[in-house]
Amino acid sequence: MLKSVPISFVKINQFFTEFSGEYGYDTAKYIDDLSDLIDKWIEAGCVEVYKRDDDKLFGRAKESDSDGQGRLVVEYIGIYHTRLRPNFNDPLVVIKFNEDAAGKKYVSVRFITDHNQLFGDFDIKHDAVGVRSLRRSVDAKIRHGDEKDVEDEKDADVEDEKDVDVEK
Amino acid sequence: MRNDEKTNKNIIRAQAFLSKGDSGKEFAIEGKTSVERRASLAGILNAQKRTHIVC
Repeated sequence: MLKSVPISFVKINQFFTEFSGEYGYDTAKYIDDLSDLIDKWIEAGCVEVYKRDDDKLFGRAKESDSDGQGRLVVEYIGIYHTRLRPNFNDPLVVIKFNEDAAGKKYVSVRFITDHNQLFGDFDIKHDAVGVRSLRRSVDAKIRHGDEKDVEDEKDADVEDEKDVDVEK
Repeated sequence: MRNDEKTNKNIIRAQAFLSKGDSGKEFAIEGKTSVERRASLAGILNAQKRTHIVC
C-alpha cells in the first residue's frame, strides 16, 4: 500500500556532503540524479512511501525501520530512504520529513549511502560464506541446547530419585 | 568482524549522522523551473564541498 506525504519544499542538510563523503560518495557526481529526484517530489507536491518491494519506483521512499528481512531497526524509526537512480538499488538517499516554523512539511535530504552500509548484513543471504557461518553457529547453539536438555533431564531424574529416597 | 557487529556499527554510525544532522542548518532548494532548482542544488553542494575541504 502506498502512502502519500505532502511536501512544500526540499532542503539539503548542512552535513549532506560531509556525511555522504564518509560513506564514500562524492555528492558532486550525483547533482543530476539528485536534481531529477527533487524535481519529481516538487512537481508532485508529495513523496510516495511504499512498504512492499513490488511497489518500489524511482522517486518513491521506503521507511528505513525494517532491514528488508522483516527485522525492526528501532534506531531508524522516522527515517526514509530512496533510490538515487532509476533501475539501480544503490546508492540510496536518506531523508526525513520535517516541518518548518510555519508548519509546512518538507523533505530534509541527509546523506547518500547504500544498503550494505545502512543495514550491514542485509545481503547475508547472497553471501555463501556468511550463510555457512550463520548455519554453523545456529547448529552449534541447537546442539548445545540439546545437550543441556539431556543434562537437565539427568539432573531431574537424580532429584526424583532423591525425592523418592526421602519419602522412603 | 561478525555480521551482527558490522550491522550494529553501521547503525550507530548512521544514528550519529542523523542526530548531528538534526542540529544542523538546512538549505532550501529554490527555483520554479528544473534548471533553476538544479542551479540552486549545485550552489549548495559546491559551497558545502568548499567548506568541507577548508575544514
